[in-house]
Amino acid sequence: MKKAHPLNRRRFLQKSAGGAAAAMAVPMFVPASALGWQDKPAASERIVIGSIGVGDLGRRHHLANMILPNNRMEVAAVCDVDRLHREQSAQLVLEKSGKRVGCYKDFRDVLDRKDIDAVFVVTPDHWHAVISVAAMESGKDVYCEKPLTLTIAESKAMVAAARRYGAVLQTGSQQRSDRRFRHACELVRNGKIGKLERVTTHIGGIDSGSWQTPTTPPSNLDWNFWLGPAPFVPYAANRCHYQFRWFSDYSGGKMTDWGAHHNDIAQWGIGADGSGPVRVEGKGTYHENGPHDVPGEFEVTYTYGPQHGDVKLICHSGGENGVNFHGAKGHVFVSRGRIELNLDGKKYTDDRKKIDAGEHVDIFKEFPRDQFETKLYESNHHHNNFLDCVASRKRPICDVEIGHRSVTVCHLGNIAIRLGRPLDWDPVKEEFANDAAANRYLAKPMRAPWHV
Amino acid sequence: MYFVSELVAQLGSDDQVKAYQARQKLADTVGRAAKPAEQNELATALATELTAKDKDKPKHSLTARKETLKLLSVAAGDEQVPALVECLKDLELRMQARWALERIPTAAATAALVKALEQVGPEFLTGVVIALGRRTGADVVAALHKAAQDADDEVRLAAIESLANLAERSNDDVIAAATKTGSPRARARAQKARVRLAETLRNAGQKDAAAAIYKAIAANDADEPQKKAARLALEQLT
Repeated sequence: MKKAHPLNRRRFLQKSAGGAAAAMAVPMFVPASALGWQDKPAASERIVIGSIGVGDLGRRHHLANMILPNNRMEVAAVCDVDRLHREQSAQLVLEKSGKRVGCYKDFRDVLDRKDIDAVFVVTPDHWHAVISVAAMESGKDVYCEKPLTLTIAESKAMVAAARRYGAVLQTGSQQRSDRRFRHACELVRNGKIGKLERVTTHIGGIDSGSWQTPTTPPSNLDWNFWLGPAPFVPYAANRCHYQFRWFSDYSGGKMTDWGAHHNDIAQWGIGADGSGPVRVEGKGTYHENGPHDVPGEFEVTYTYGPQHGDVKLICHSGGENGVNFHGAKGHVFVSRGRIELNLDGKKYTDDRKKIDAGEHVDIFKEFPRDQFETKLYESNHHHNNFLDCVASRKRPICDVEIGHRSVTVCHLGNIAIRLGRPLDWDPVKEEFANDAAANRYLAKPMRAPWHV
Repeated sequence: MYFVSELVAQLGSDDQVKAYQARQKLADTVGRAAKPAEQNELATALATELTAKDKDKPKHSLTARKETLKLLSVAAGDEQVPALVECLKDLELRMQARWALERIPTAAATAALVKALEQVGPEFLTGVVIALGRRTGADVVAALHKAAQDADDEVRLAAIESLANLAERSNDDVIAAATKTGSPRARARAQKARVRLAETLRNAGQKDAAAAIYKAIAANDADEPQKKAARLALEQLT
């Protein structure tokens, strides 16, 4: 898949394979795995991956469950500022694929490798933009976990870099590749629930956390590198792996963590990809005693413009996790386990028990996709969609612009809660109208030498 | 604003809960100051506490002053720039002072950042140079041209990258020269900056200048990603 090196690894393998096939009498030095067999692509067709950030999500979910079992990818490097993470990951790759891979602390060493086609960026949020932009500038395609960034300015920079380099960037909001969420959005976009009036998203709140006395970082962790662009603070374990989500120096709390999923689906259903709301108003509470310093509970109301039917999106920390589209004729609820449509007093679902009991009608049979006039981008596997696009150079289901606009919705919510006043947002200029103070919250300075 | 003084003192408390409560209270107060007059009153109070002395020593702890600077990054205006400049002289505070100046979108803050380049320390200077990459004006360009000759590679490359954000055709002379010096990684950074400069010029309506740079990149020994970016841009320009 490597694009244009005069004699890159793939071309070399292709030439080698061709030569070997043409001269069957000579010993076969090219391993069968390089040529491919049955459903396994030849090595020359596999996408060579660098996995940057291999902590819990990067190692357990991406590396172990999604990358290594997928024979369209070949891992060449793992990278983490935590030595244990990178060594465990290298060991995992060795056990699963029999291959020894490069093991790096510094992502720049991964990006310097010209044999790597694409990188997975599964670091804490405050690193996403710096690493992704650098990766695209190094000619790599990127799968970047959600939420795309820590600030709106950062994700704008990611969009610009992707377009500048013609890079493929898949945002890890994988609900876009889930049939239920797509079907819910298609029902809405095809007017099945009548005019869309409002969308409610329920994304959960957070607890207060507990204080820890700062201490010396463990010897396996380069804490200063982990902090990177963020302000220096002494190490405390509960600011670091996984828990970083609840500290505003590194993330936006539940608003971005789950908002990057459900508000993303709301944008899709509203038809606002590439755009956004025109007004935002939020109320929320911060935990009285910390240490988690992002909103604990909240309700944010977004208003979209006339081109989006003046629809409202209300994002709650409470309620059943999922997205609810409310239309003039009915409403559709969708979550990771369930889709349910209420229309003119009739109920439709994909819940087999309810269908078999005769309580509900099968939603996919009653509203088959092929009868929809408006069909949304179809992807049924987020990672494979990324790989398809790396090969085709088309934009993925959750392209960088989509991820940027969805995380913008989330950031706007956090800003509105902090400022406590209604804010007018210009989705074209991507700035607040007539509120210079609010515009200061669109970007955060970084510690040198990091910047995007 | 008596409560500001109390809360700034509390920012430096050894009790983590008390310090957190003061941070949240002040962040909330700053955020909710919607009118410019309110913002200025609050920023003035914060700046007063920032520079306040008690028997020739700072009235508030280092932690408290660092946190105050973070608050001033979203609250301060021109009137508070002198207080921030004062903090640039303090080795322990100058990074937070730079962050605050970086977020103030005025000419006074820009001038303060340009002046900050007279200080020493590569890490600090790199940050200032990066901040200047988001400003405009002849003084900024001149300061960055000078920084682009700095002996420290990180400062020099940060200046090259900052120049790429400013729509000045002459910046290409400096950036193109940088593509021929230093380590392979340093040269690569300069090539990437050159692509960005061309885009900056294109976005500013200087399409001929942009095209000339893109053509040069496509024709020279730049890395393939930069050549590809140049080819892509040239296709879009024609």
